[in-house]
Amino acid sequence: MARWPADPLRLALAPAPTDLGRWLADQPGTGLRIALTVADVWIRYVVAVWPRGLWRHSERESLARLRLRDIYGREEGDWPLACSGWRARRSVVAAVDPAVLAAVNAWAVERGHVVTTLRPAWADAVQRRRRSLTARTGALARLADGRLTVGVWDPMGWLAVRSLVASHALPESEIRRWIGQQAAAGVCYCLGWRSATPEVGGWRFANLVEEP
Amino acid sequence: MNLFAGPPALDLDFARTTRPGSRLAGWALAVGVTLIAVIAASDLPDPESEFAHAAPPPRRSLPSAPPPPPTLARESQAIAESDSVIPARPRPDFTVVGVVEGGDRLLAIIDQRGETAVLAAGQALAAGGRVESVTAGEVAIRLPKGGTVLRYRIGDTP
Repeated sequence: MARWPADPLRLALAPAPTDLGRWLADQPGTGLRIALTVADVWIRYVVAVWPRGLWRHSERESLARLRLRDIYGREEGDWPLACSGWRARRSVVAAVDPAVLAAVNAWAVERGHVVTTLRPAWADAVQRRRRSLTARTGALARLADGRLTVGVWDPMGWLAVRSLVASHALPESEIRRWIGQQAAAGVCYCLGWRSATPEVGGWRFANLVEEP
Repeated sequence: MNLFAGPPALDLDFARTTRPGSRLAGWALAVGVTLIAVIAASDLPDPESEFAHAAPPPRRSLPSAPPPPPTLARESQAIAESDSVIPARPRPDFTVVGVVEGGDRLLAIIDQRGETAVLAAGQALAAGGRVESVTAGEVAIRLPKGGTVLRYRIGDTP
Protein backbone atom coordinates (compact mmCIF):
# COMPACT_ATOMS: atom_id res chain seq x y z
CA MET A 1 0.00 0.00 0.00
CA ALA A 2 1.36 3.41 -0.93
CA ARG A 3 2.25 5.67 1.93
CA TRP A 4 0.26 8.82 2.43
CA PRO A 5 2.59 11.57 1.21
CA ALA A 6 2.53 13.34 4.55
CA ASP A 7 3.53 10.19 6.39
CA PRO A 8 7.16 10.33 7.44
CA LEU A 9 9.40 7.40 6.66
CA ARG A 10 9.95 5.35 9.81
CA LEU A 11 13.54 4.50 10.59
CA ALA A 12 14.89 2.72 13.63
CA LEU A 13 18.32 3.84 14.76
CA ALA A 14 19.61 0.64 16.23
CA PRO A 15 23.22 -0.09 15.44
CA ALA A 16 26.05 -0.70 17.84
CA PRO A 17 27.46 2.60 19.07
CA THR A 18 30.61 2.34 16.95
CA ASP A 19 28.61 1.87 13.75
CA LEU A 20 26.38 4.90 14.07
CA GLY A 21 28.08 7.08 11.44
CA ARG A 22 28.32 4.24 8.95
CA TRP A 23 24.74 3.16 9.54
CA LEU A 24 23.46 6.68 8.89
CA ALA A 25 25.66 7.04 5.80
CA ASP A 26 24.25 3.79 4.40
CA GLN A 27 20.66 5.01 4.56
CA PRO A 28 19.42 5.83 1.06
CA GLY A 29 17.48 8.87 -0.08
CA THR A 30 17.58 12.62 0.32
CA GLY A 31 15.05 15.26 1.28
CA LEU A 32 12.78 12.88 3.17
CA ARG A 33 10.59 13.37 6.19
CA ILE A 34 11.75 10.83 8.71
CA ALA A 35 10.39 9.62 12.03
CA LEU A 36 13.35 8.17 13.90
CA THR A 37 13.31 5.82 16.81
CA VAL A 38 16.48 5.49 18.84
CA ALA A 39 17.54 2.13 20.24
CA ASP A 40 17.35 1.97 24.01
CA VAL A 41 21.09 1.43 24.23
CA TRP A 42 21.40 5.18 23.64
CA ILE A 43 18.74 6.12 26.16
CA ARG A 44 18.60 6.39 29.95
CA TYR A 45 15.16 6.34 31.53
CA VAL A 46 14.01 7.51 34.90
CA VAL A 47 10.58 7.94 36.45
CA ALA A 48 10.54 11.23 38.30
CA VAL A 49 8.10 11.70 41.15
CA TRP A 50 7.59 15.44 41.44
CA PRO A 51 7.51 16.59 45.05
CA ARG A 52 4.74 18.90 46.13
CA GLY A 53 5.73 22.49 45.55
CA LEU A 54 8.07 21.65 42.73
CA TRP A 55 6.16 22.95 39.75
CA ARG A 56 8.54 25.21 37.87
CA HIS A 57 9.94 23.84 34.67
CA SER A 58 13.53 24.53 35.65
CA GLU A 59 13.06 22.96 39.08
CA ARG A 60 11.60 19.79 37.65
CA GLU A 61 14.31 19.57 35.04
CA SER A 62 16.95 20.02 37.69
CA LEU A 63 15.41 17.27 39.81
CA ALA A 64 15.27 14.96 36.79
CA ARG A 65 18.96 15.55 36.16
CA LEU A 66 19.73 14.87 39.79
CA ARG A 67 17.91 11.53 39.55
CA LEU A 68 19.79 10.63 36.36
CA ARG A 69 23.12 11.45 38.05
CA ASP A 70 22.14 9.38 41.06
CA ILE A 71 21.30 6.36 38.94
CA TYR A 72 23.63 6.50 35.96
CA GLY A 73 26.41 8.97 36.74
CA ARG A 74 27.42 12.55 36.22
CA GLU A 75 27.70 12.39 32.45
CA GLU A 76 24.15 11.15 31.91
CA GLY A 77 22.83 13.95 34.09
CA ASP A 78 23.94 16.41 31.42
CA TRP A 79 22.41 14.62 28.43
CA PRO A 80 19.54 16.18 26.48
CA LEU A 81 16.20 15.30 28.05
CA ALA A 82 12.65 14.63 26.98
CA CYS A 83 9.85 14.46 29.50
CA SER A 84 6.41 12.93 29.16
CA GLY A 85 3.42 13.87 31.22
CA TRP A 86 4.58 17.21 32.52
CA ARG A 87 1.40 17.84 34.49
CA ALA A 88 1.36 14.37 36.00
CA ARG A 89 2.53 13.61 39.50
CA ARG A 90 5.00 11.14 38.01
CA SER A 91 6.70 11.54 34.66
CA VAL A 92 8.92 9.39 32.54
CA VAL A 93 12.10 11.26 31.68
CA ALA A 94 14.46 10.01 28.99
CA ALA A 95 17.99 11.21 28.36
CA VAL A 96 19.70 10.58 25.02
CA ASP A 97 23.39 10.31 24.31
CA PRO A 98 24.31 13.70 22.78
CA ALA A 99 26.57 11.98 20.25
CA VAL A 100 23.46 10.45 18.68
CA LEU A 101 21.75 13.80 18.30
CA ALA A 102 24.88 15.33 16.83
CA ALA A 103 25.29 12.48 14.32
CA VAL A 104 21.63 12.53 13.34
CA ASN A 105 21.72 16.28 12.99
CA ALA A 106 24.78 16.24 10.72
CA TRP A 107 23.27 13.45 8.64
CA ALA A 108 19.90 15.21 8.28
CA VAL A 109 21.51 18.49 7.23
CA GLU A 110 23.78 16.76 4.72
CA ARG A 111 20.94 14.77 3.14
CA GLY A 112 18.29 17.46 3.43
CA HIS A 113 16.05 15.27 5.57
CA VAL A 114 13.46 16.58 7.98
CA VAL A 115 13.45 14.57 11.18
CA THR A 116 9.86 14.91 12.34
CA THR A 117 10.22 12.90 15.54
CA LEU A 118 13.07 11.28 17.43
CA ARG A 119 11.73 8.89 20.02
CA PRO A 120 13.24 6.26 22.28
CA ALA A 121 12.41 2.80 20.94
CA TRP A 122 10.69 1.47 24.03
CA ALA A 123 8.59 4.64 24.47
CA ASP A 124 7.66 4.47 20.80
CA ALA A 125 6.56 0.85 21.25
CA VAL A 126 4.35 1.87 24.18
CA GLN A 127 2.72 4.65 22.18
CA ARG A 128 2.10 2.51 19.12
CA ARG A 129 0.60 -0.33 21.15
CA ARG A 130 -1.44 1.50 23.72
CA ARG A 131 -4.67 0.02 22.36
CA SER A 132 -3.35 -3.48 22.98
CA LEU A 133 -2.12 -2.71 26.49
CA THR A 134 -5.45 -2.82 28.28
CA ALA A 135 -4.44 -3.76 31.82
CA ARG A 136 -4.99 -1.10 34.48
CA THR A 137 -1.77 -2.23 36.12
CA GLY A 138 0.76 -3.62 33.72
CA ALA A 139 4.21 -3.68 32.24
CA LEU A 140 5.68 -3.67 28.78
CA ALA A 141 8.91 -5.65 28.55
CA ARG A 142 10.54 -5.19 25.16
CA LEU A 143 13.60 -7.11 24.05
CA ALA A 144 15.38 -5.58 21.07
CA ASP A 145 18.94 -4.88 19.97
CA GLY A 146 20.32 -6.93 22.85
CA ARG A 147 18.54 -4.85 25.44
CA LEU A 148 15.53 -5.50 27.60
CA THR A 149 13.54 -2.45 28.60
CA VAL A 150 10.67 -2.79 31.05
CA GLY A 151 8.25 -0.15 32.27
CA VAL A 152 5.53 -0.68 34.86
CA TRP A 153 2.38 1.43 35.21
CA ASP A 154 -0.62 1.54 37.49
CA PRO A 155 -3.77 3.72 37.38
CA MET A 156 -1.83 6.62 38.92
CA GLY A 157 0.85 6.68 36.25
CA TRP A 158 4.23 5.22 35.48
CA LEU A 159 5.90 3.49 38.41
CA ALA A 160 9.34 2.58 37.09
CA VAL A 161 11.31 1.99 33.93
CA ARG A 162 14.39 -0.16 33.70
CA SER A 163 16.61 -0.89 30.71
CA LEU A 164 19.27 -3.58 30.87
CA VAL A 165 21.64 -5.48 28.66
CA ALA A 166 19.85 -8.72 27.90
CA SER A 167 22.11 -11.62 28.69
CA HIS A 168 22.14 -14.88 30.54
CA ALA A 169 23.16 -12.92 33.59
CA LEU A 170 19.65 -11.50 33.61
CA PRO A 171 17.25 -14.42 33.70
CA GLU A 172 13.52 -14.11 33.30
CA SER A 173 13.10 -14.67 37.01
CA GLU A 174 14.95 -11.41 37.66
CA ILE A 175 12.46 -9.51 35.52
CA ARG A 176 9.59 -11.16 37.34
CA ARG A 177 11.10 -10.27 40.69
CA TRP A 178 11.59 -6.66 39.64
CA ILE A 179 8.08 -6.07 38.31
CA GLY A 180 6.75 -7.84 41.39
CA GLN A 181 8.52 -5.23 43.49
CA GLN A 182 6.77 -2.41 41.61
CA ALA A 183 3.22 -3.77 41.85
CA ALA A 184 1.66 -6.87 43.37
CA ALA A 185 -0.31 -7.93 40.32
CA GLY A 186 -0.86 -7.04 36.70
CA VAL A 187 -0.27 -8.05 33.14
CA CYS A 188 3.23 -8.02 31.70
CA TYR A 189 3.18 -7.67 27.92
CA CYS A 190 6.23 -9.28 26.34
CA LEU A 191 7.50 -7.85 23.08
CA GLY A 192 10.38 -9.47 21.22
CA TRP A 193 10.58 -12.39 23.68
CA ARG A 194 8.28 -15.03 25.05
CA SER A 195 7.75 -15.76 28.68
CA ALA A 196 8.23 -19.43 29.54
CA THR A 197 5.50 -19.39 32.15
CA PRO A 198 2.16 -17.63 31.66
CA GLU A 199 1.61 -16.67 35.28
CA VAL A 200 3.85 -15.96 38.25
CA GLY A 201 2.51 -14.62 41.52
CA GLY A 202 -0.05 -11.97 40.69
CA TRP A 203 1.46 -11.29 37.30
CA ARG A 204 0.20 -12.72 34.04
CA PHE A 205 2.47 -12.71 31.01
CA ALA A 206 1.02 -11.98 27.58
CA ASN A 207 3.12 -12.32 24.45
CA LEU A 208 2.81 -9.63 21.79
CA VAL A 209 4.07 -9.87 18.25
CA GLU A 210 6.57 -7.21 17.10
CA GLU A 211 5.20 -5.16 14.24
CA PRO A 212 7.33 -4.92 11.12
CA MET B 1 -4.91 9.78 37.59
CA ASN B 2 -5.14 7.62 34.51
CA LEU B 3 -8.90 7.09 34.11
CA PHE B 4 -8.52 4.69 31.21
CA ALA B 5 -7.12 1.21 31.23
CA GLY B 6 -3.63 0.81 29.86
CA PRO B 7 -0.47 2.82 30.26
CA PRO B 8 -0.45 6.60 30.45
CA ALA B 9 0.61 8.38 27.27
CA LEU B 10 4.34 8.33 26.76
CA ASP B 11 5.15 10.99 24.23
CA LEU B 12 8.89 11.32 24.53
CA ASP B 13 10.29 13.19 21.56
CA PHE B 14 13.76 14.70 21.41
CA ALA B 15 12.96 16.50 18.14
CA ARG B 16 10.04 18.46 19.53
CA THR B 17 11.77 21.69 20.40
CA THR B 18 14.18 21.89 17.49
CA ARG B 19 13.49 23.41 14.11
CA PRO B 20 15.36 24.52 11.00
CA GLY B 21 16.31 22.36 8.03
CA SER B 22 15.59 19.18 9.70
CA ARG B 23 13.80 19.72 12.97
CA LEU B 24 17.07 18.62 14.47
CA ALA B 25 19.23 20.86 12.32
CA GLY B 26 21.31 23.29 14.26
CA TRP B 27 20.82 21.26 17.40
CA ALA B 28 24.07 22.35 18.91
CA LEU B 29 23.19 25.97 18.22
CA ALA B 30 19.67 25.40 19.43
CA VAL B 31 21.00 24.15 22.73
CA GLY B 32 22.54 27.51 23.46
CA VAL B 33 19.51 29.44 22.23
CA THR B 34 17.11 27.19 24.07
CA LEU B 35 19.10 27.53 27.24
CA ILE B 36 18.94 31.29 27.08
CA ALA B 37 15.20 31.10 26.41
CA VAL B 38 14.63 28.53 29.12
CA ILE B 39 16.62 30.48 31.69
CA ALA B 40 14.73 33.64 30.78
CA ALA B 41 11.30 32.04 30.82
CA SER B 42 11.73 29.33 33.38
CA ASP B 43 9.73 30.96 36.14
CA LEU B 44 6.47 29.61 34.80
CA PRO B 45 5.71 26.02 33.96
CA ASP B 46 5.70 25.46 30.24
CA PRO B 47 3.71 22.35 29.49
CA GLU B 48 4.04 22.76 25.71
CA SER B 49 7.81 22.53 25.56
CA GLU B 50 8.58 19.60 27.74
CA PHE B 51 12.27 19.85 28.17
CA ALA B 52 14.40 18.46 25.41
CA HIS B 53 17.70 20.24 25.61
CA ALA B 54 21.10 19.79 27.10
CA ALA B 55 22.08 20.65 30.62
CA PRO B 56 23.13 24.22 31.19
CA PRO B 57 26.88 24.64 31.29
CA PRO B 58 28.29 25.51 34.69
CA ARG B 59 28.32 29.23 35.17
CA ARG B 60 31.50 30.96 36.06
CA SER B 61 31.67 34.04 38.13
CA LEU B 62 32.81 36.89 35.95
CA PRO B 63 33.50 40.38 37.18
CA SER B 64 30.83 42.77 35.97
CA ALA B 65 33.35 45.25 34.60
CA PRO B 66 37.12 45.26 34.24
CA PRO B 67 38.91 47.33 36.86
CA PRO B 68 40.04 50.75 35.69
CA PRO B 69 43.73 51.19 34.93
CA PRO B 70 45.52 52.01 38.15
CA THR B 71 46.74 55.48 38.73
CA LEU B 72 49.00 56.62 41.53
CA ALA B 73 46.20 58.60 43.15
CA ARG B 74 43.76 55.68 43.01
CA GLU B 75 46.34 53.27 44.30
CA SER B 76 47.13 55.37 47.30
CA GLN B 77 43.40 55.85 47.93
CA ALA B 78 42.90 52.08 47.76
CA ILE B 79 45.73 51.51 50.20
CA ALA B 80 44.22 54.03 52.57
CA GLU B 81 40.79 52.37 52.31
CA SER B 82 42.23 48.92 52.79
CA ASP B 83 43.73 50.00 56.09
CA SER B 84 40.46 51.25 57.46
CA VAL B 85 37.78 49.06 55.86
CA ILE B 86 37.37 45.35 56.50
CA PRO B 87 37.02 43.86 53.04
CA ALA B 88 33.76 42.02 52.43
CA ARG B 89 34.19 38.29 52.22
CA PRO B 90 33.34 37.01 48.74
CA ARG B 91 30.22 34.90 48.87
CA PRO B 92 28.52 32.80 46.26
CA ASP B 93 25.54 34.33 44.52
CA PHE B 94 22.43 32.25 45.17
CA THR B 95 19.06 32.16 46.87
CA VAL B 96 17.61 29.25 48.79
CA VAL B 97 14.17 28.97 47.19
CA GLY B 98 12.77 25.98 49.00
CA VAL B 99 13.13 22.50 50.38
CA VAL B 100 11.25 19.54 48.92
CA GLU B 101 11.04 15.86 49.61
CA GLY B 102 12.84 13.82 47.00
CA GLY B 103 12.30 10.14 47.66
CA ASP B 104 13.89 9.27 50.97
CA ARG B 105 15.69 12.57 51.52
CA LEU B 106 15.23 16.31 51.46
CA LEU B 107 16.43 18.41 48.54
CA ALA B 108 17.23 22.10 48.42
CA ILE B 109 15.94 24.23 45.56
CA ILE B 110 18.58 26.86 44.98
CA ASP B 111 18.38 29.66 42.47
CA GLN B 112 21.82 30.52 41.20
CA ARG B 113 21.59 33.74 39.22
CA GLY B 114 18.34 32.75 37.57
CA GLU B 115 19.31 29.13 37.10
CA THR B 116 17.53 26.68 39.35
CA ALA B 117 19.26 23.66 40.81
CA VAL B 118 17.77 20.97 43.00
CA LEU B 119 20.57 19.70 45.20
CA ALA B 120 20.99 17.07 47.85
CA ALA B 121 23.39 17.31 50.76
CA GLY B 122 26.96 16.91 49.56
CA GLN B 123 26.41 18.41 46.13
CA ALA B 124 28.21 21.46 44.83
CA LEU B 125 26.68 24.77 43.80
CA ALA B 126 27.65 26.14 40.40
CA ALA B 127 28.41 29.47 42.08
CA GLY B 128 30.83 27.77 44.46
CA GLY B 129 30.32 26.10 47.79
CA ARG B 130 28.58 22.89 48.75
CA VAL B 131 25.30 21.92 50.32
CA GLU B 132 26.19 20.69 53.79
CA SER B 133 22.78 19.62 55.01
CA VAL B 134 19.11 20.05 54.13
CA THR B 135 16.46 20.08 56.80
CA ALA B 136 12.85 21.28 56.74
CA GLY B 137 12.98 25.01 56.10
CA GLU B 138 16.75 25.35 56.43
CA VAL B 139 19.74 24.65 54.24
CA ALA B 140 23.36 24.71 55.39
CA ILE B 141 25.91 25.77 52.79
CA ARG B 142 29.66 25.36 53.15
CA LEU B 143 31.29 28.36 51.52
CA PRO B 144 34.09 27.73 49.02
CA LYS B 145 36.72 29.72 50.85
CA GLY B 146 37.52 29.04 54.45
CA GLY B 147 34.98 26.24 54.75
CA THR B 148 32.57 28.35 56.78
CA VAL B 149 29.12 26.78 57.08
CA LEU B 150 26.22 29.22 56.90
CA ARG B 151 22.58 28.33 57.49
CA TYR B 152 19.89 29.79 55.28
CA ARG B 153 16.15 29.91 55.81
CA ILE B 154 14.02 29.66 52.70
CA GLY B 155 14.18 32.92 50.78
CA ASP B 156 17.54 33.92 52.23
CA THR B 157 20.21 35.35 50.00
CA PRO B 158 23.79 35.71 51.15
